[in-house]
Amino acid sequence: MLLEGLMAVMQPVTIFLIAVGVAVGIIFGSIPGLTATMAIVMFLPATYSMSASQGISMLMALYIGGISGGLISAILLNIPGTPSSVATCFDGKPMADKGEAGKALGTGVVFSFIGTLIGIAILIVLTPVLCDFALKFQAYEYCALAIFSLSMVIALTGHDMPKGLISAVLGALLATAGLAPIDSKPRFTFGLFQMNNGFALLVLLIGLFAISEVMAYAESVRKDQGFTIESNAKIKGAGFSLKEGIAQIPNAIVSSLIGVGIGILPGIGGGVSCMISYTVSKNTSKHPQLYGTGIMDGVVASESANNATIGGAMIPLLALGIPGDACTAMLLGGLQVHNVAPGPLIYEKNGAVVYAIFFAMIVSAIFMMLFMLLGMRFFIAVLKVPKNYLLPIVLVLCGIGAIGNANMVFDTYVMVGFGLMSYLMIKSKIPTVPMILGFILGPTFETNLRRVSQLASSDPFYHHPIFCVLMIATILVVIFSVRSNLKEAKRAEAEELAAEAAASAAAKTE
Amino acid sequence: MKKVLALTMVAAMTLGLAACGSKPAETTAAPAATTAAAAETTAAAAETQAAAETEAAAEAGDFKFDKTVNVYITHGAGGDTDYMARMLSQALEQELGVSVVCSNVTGSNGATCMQQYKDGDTDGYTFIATNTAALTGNEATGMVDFGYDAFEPVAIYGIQSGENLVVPADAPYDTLADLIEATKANPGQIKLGISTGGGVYIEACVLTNLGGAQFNLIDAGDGASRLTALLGGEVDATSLPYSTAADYIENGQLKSLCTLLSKAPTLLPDQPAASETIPELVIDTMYAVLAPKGTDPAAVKAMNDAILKVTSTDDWKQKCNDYSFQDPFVLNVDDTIAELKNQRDLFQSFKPFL
Amino acid sequence: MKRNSKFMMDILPGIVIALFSIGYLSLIPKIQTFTGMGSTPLTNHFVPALWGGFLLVLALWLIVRGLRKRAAFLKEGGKIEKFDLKAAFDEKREVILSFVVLTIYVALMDAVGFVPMTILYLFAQILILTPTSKWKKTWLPALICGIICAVLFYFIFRMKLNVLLPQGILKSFGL
Repeated sequence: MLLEGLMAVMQPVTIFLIAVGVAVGIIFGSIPGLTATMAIVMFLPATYSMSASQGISMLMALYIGGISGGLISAILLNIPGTPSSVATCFDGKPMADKGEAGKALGTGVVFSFIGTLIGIAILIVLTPVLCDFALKFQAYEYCALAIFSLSMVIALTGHDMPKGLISAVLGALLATAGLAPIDSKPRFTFGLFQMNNGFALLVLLIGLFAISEVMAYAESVRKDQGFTIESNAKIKGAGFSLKEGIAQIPNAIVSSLIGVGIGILPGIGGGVSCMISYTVSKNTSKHPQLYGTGIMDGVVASESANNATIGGAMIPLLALGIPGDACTAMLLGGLQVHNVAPGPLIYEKNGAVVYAIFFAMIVSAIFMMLFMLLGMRFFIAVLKVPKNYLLPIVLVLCGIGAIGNANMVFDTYVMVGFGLMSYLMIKSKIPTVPMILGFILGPTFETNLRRVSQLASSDPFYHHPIFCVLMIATILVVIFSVRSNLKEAKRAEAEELAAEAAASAAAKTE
Repeated sequence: MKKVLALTMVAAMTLGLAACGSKPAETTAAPAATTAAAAETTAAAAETQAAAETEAAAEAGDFKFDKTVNVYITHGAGGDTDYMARMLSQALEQELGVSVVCSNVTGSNGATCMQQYKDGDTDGYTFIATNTAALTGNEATGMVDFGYDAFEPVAIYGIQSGENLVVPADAPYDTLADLIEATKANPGQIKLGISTGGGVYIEACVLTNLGGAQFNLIDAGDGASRLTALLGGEVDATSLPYSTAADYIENGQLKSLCTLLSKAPTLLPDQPAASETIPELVIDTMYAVLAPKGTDPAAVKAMNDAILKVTSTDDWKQKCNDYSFQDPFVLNVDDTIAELKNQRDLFQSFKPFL
Repeated sequence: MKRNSKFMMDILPGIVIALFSIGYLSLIPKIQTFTGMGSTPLTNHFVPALWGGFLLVLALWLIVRGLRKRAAFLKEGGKIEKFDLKAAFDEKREVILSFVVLTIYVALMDAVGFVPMTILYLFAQILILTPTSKWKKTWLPALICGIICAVLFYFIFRMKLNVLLPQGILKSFGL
């Protein structure tokens, strides 16, 4: 069966489809506004007429290419190409600003590859064990997980805690618009049926990152700066030395494990996994103060986690028939169309297809690394395009993405609204990133909290050890982050006072 | 002038219909059709006499598709509604000789798309592909305030493999009647996983109100998360699409008590139907094509003809067998309207306890 | 000196967010609840009320913090500068213009169509992002860029990938 799977993938046609899929995926992933999900949506119908292993190989290639491609625009433009690479901006962009775009891209690509492989390895070896784990996650556990992940916001915000929390709560609040979970009653829709779907994460991301980036550039128009960013065009290999790479391995492994863990749990997804592993990596690092200034560690944490999430998300999909996010839901459809029913019997009934999926994932990962490393020079060349042309074009593409998300022009209005909101937030020094966590996790929290309220009478919380552990962990995280935030706030204040004193002293001597 | 012409035409046609019964003579149809095309421009006549015109169209049928046909699918890519619609469009493309472009406009169980296109272009090139459970269910639960009569129904072209009531294989009950008895013996102790507001919710309401069951209803979300909840022991019973549950039934983890279809799928004949225990408990989800209100009846008829034709092939039969364990099931315009009305009446009768 | 804007950075957003959360909270009672069979004990009002209340508290925290900073600032003998609206507008005119053209772009897209609006938008936005001194050299490339991008994207996404970009006035040409 293993051989059969290998044979199915190692055909010229299939290899060709994988190559095309990876390339298209990278393009969709790298253009802000177009996502991996959209690539799969658009190509899924084309796979209906292919054979099962060809179709699913192409979809896997699109998935892996799409998730990986997001790092390109995150690093070069500070606009994440997909929700999964939000955290890549944090250190990727500062690296590019320092002239290390090549190194940042190389790091992202190589560790995306490593993350994908770790995810696939766990998918192949540990699926049965992890399935039981996934089944243990019910309403109580999800509720606790959402609270735990939201508590990470405090760690993410740094010294200005109220503003960080405002951002997160605002995100959660925006996510309440639309049909309420569970009972599907409209909330805050103002009678507009277009609002019933609520706001899409993609549209929020465009507003938060793409529009605010354009506005930031608009502010600097008269400040007479060059239109392009200089970068080290000479890239050797992957842009970083072997020694630097090896030093990142522990970070990559921890981040990948977090990525796989989040991937296994349906409904959370890559957007959260990259941010949580970034936070964990920062808080466990020996030099947390350097995060955000442009160091490899941040890119490694984000990119290995989001790619490992792919392998994680495939575990419940294949072994239980439970899709974790929009991407895997479509993969499920793609499999069912070919009469491959994911579930406990998939190995017995369609073993060859399962192995074909594994091989297709590995081949896709290799193609992904190959294409992206070869394409690096070209990607950096994009920076040579004057930004006064590049940014408007990116914004038009974002608009297309917003329309394509649900085929509604209405979403572009929302996009502009979010853009304005994000601009005002940035001007008020309210961080925008916690908002994404709040936006994604808010609905998870609400849905499961309300289910818990239904269960509580017959099924008390102390029957749920995972719930209890997560709640204790949340309390610990909150205490520790508040303490370190206060410390940081004091330090920031002291620095400020010192700076001011120095300034006034300088003024006096004059 | 045109209005008068149209009205005369409609009157003549109604008379003709009354005389000819369900199978009108071909001779009267031909001249009527030419006037019908002219009459279309008169919107007023078209609206006041919509019902009559639908029947008029049954006689017309010389609408020729000569540009791209747009099909808006109410559910997302990867689902069964999308798959069936795309398969149909592919077949129609060859039959009609023009391209048939599918787009998914998703959200709110199809309500977003239907809301957006119910008053769409009426030139005969706009169609909506959906399923009947979404169409009638959204109306019954009050999510939308319109039903099938806000559209020009074109065809029903398939039937789903159906929802099944499933329990863990080691559960002490083997039939729906057993399960209901068990809930009566232990009121509120047996947890039924539902998805509030959806078809499964309607099912739970019928079980409670007409079957006398006393479940503890627990919201467990969509099909996939209901499966998780059942496997993880959070609920004791739930309703799942057959395709989702099939593997687990086969490997002995779960067992199916009954199907909610009025009749078990052709390829899975040995299942009892829920309606044997509770006659009203029927959820026949069918795939339907609708057109915006006021669409040229000739176009509706022509599309229905084309659908009837492409679904009569062996290839289509094979696809239905493989994908939904069903034989092809296609209705003409009148039967489609009748079936939709049936389903709507049934769902509306549940309304008091929704 | 610079501390002036610092407490305003707390007070202003605080007020805006507080007002927003009050507005949000006041909408909650109007939400239809579902109380039928199998409804959850916590209704769909609970979590919005939780977030709304939380946001209000945080906003008040911000206002109080800002006011305390202001008091400390005045105590130290700081002087509050007058806010010059005109200068602020002038400083941010590119940003304001960008938002205006973007709003016009999306507002008219459905009626006029993707292609013409994209050409106009790209042309305007590129010029806005270019210093006025270079407009002479930029307007033609900007126009060409707009035309190429609009047509190319329309072709790829509407014709090939079935994204429903608005046809607008192109509809009468059957494109």
